[in-house]
Amino acid sequence: MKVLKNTVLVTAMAMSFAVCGPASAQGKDLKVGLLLPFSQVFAVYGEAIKEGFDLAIEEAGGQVAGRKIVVFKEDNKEDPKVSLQMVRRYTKDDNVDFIVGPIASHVVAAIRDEVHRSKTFLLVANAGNNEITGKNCSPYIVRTSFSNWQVNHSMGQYAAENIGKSALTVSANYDSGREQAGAFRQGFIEKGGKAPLEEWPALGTADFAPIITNIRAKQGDIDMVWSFLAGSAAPRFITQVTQAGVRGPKLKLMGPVYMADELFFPAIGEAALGVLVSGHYMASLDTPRNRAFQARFQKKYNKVAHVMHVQGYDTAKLMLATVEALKGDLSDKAKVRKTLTGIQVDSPRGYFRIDPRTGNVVQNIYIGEVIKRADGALGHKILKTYEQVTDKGEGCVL
Amino acid sequence: MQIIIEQLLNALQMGVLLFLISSGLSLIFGLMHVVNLAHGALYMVGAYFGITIAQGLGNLYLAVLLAPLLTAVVGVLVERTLLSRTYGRGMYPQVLLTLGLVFCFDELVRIVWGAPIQTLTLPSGLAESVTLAGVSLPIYRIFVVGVGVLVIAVLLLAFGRSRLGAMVRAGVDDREMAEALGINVRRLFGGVFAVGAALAGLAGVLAVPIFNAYPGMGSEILISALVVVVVGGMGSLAGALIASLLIGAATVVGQVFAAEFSTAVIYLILVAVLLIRPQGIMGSVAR
Repeated sequence: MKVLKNTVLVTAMAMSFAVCGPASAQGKDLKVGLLLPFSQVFAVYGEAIKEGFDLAIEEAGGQVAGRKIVVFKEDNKEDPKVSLQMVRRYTKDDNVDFIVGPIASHVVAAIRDEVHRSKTFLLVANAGNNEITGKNCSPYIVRTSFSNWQVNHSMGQYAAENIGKSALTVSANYDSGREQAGAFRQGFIEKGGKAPLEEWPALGTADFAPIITNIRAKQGDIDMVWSFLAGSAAPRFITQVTQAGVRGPKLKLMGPVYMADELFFPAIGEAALGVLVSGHYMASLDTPRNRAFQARFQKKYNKVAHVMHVQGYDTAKLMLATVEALKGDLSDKAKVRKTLTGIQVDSPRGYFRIDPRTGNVVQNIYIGEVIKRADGALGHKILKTYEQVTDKGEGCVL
Repeated sequence: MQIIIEQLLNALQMGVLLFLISSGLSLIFGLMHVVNLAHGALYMVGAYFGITIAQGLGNLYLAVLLAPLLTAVVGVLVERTLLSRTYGRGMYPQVLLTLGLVFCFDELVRIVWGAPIQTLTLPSGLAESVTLAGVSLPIYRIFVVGVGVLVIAVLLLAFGRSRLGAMVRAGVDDREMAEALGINVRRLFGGVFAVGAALAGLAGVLAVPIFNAYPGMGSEILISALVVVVVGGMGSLAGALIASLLIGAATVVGQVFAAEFSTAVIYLILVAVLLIRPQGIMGSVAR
């Protein structure tokens, strides 16, 4: 009796395996694994990228080249360990065709080797870590967002040419902060500026009063304060600096666009007026393509799209265009890479493409000033466009 | 010279703000020996109540008055229904419960008010800076210090000099004896908890124009508040005040000379105090 029962059990199991089959095979569905945070500090960013991404998928009707798009969503908590486990699961168990994410530079650095080993394409939708398209580049890693160098180098150049020759930088003391301040410094000195004074508040600094007092002490000597701070510290700094009465026509405040855009305007309020920003996207970009995109986005989500939304949207667009061009056949990895880096995307941010040499995006960088728009809301006035800025990706050997 | 004066004033206002943030915890932790990690959550709730009131009624001052009261109500509810069940059971149930409350409140706030960072616009009277004797100060910071000094005076008087304060201190020192003398210690402690919650809420709403409001803001100040209470000595409001001013000054020094380590300064002080005088600056040696 026991032998019979065991036989039946084993047979049933074997049959169920046969029926399920290796689900990983080159099936019809296009599988995308999201590597984004949906809880805690970075949740707003993860949600924003997903919202942009979803809009693009929806516009495509949920399918491309005859393949249905299946999106795997899980919370990576923007934690390197969790992200590593998720990447392993996505590449070994779920056999995804693309991974989209992550937000933070330290997370993308942690998963780089695993992604490279697994030969799965990672579409970096935010993390600005220079090295991921520099000395740690990989044929399987492509970035649609920006590099820390790219967004800030142009600001340095613009500042030295238009604002003044003396600057002070206030930058969060961690790798991203150092890369961004370094990029500003490089562009600034290139165009004749003096080496900037530097303040390096620790991550998590809540009260900038002592640093602001330092800035006040140097008021006569500097023309501008450039700042990059992470997360909630960004609006806080701008508010505190403005409350202290340090800013003025002789002392301009500036930074990358994510210091003062639609995401943080509610937190800064009118103190944001007059801040100069540099970035690859601003909601106020007055092009037919962006206006149409904003209209569609606002219809679906009832809010203005900011740079994170566009990053998610564009990542999906690039992915869809690639799959379309290859008629759904992603089996030849070299061909996928060639296609990914050969497409020029008409994005709400303007045209962009992926540099085949490094995998980083080549795009316009805009210099904008925060102003009050005709409808009373805060927005940006574009002062200058640096066309198709390319990050040279030092050290990248593919 | 002016810069030094300005930095000293920075230290003062940071210390007072820190005291405001920690006073509620010092009261509850120190007097009732209740580990109220939900203190951070109450601080956050006060901040968000403040935002809603200020935006709804268009008046910041009303928000500063009412938000603490609403927070006290929330605090009392939490204490009566949940926390009081853990009295006398030791530290761990209290830690677990209040920590769980922190997570719950974070999500509740996210659901009700949304995740993005929010702030309060200051009325024009408070929004600028004023220059006194060559030193420039934001008016709002002066306002906060003023409120802080008021709170300090009221607390020290109430707990140090009044009969009510004497009863509370008696209840802390020897609960059975106090009850034998006819003092309703349970109700008294409930009142202390309400005051502690109100203080947390007051600190929360005052902090919004400076630090902004976002889910998770409570957890960030909780550690600082805990350090202040330990460094100052459990059960001593005066100790909490001294500790706050000390930490405020040290943080300013840290930011000026070694900004990379400025957030570590508070822990260096904690370690130093624990090594030299573990009961805290004004704490009494454990019985």
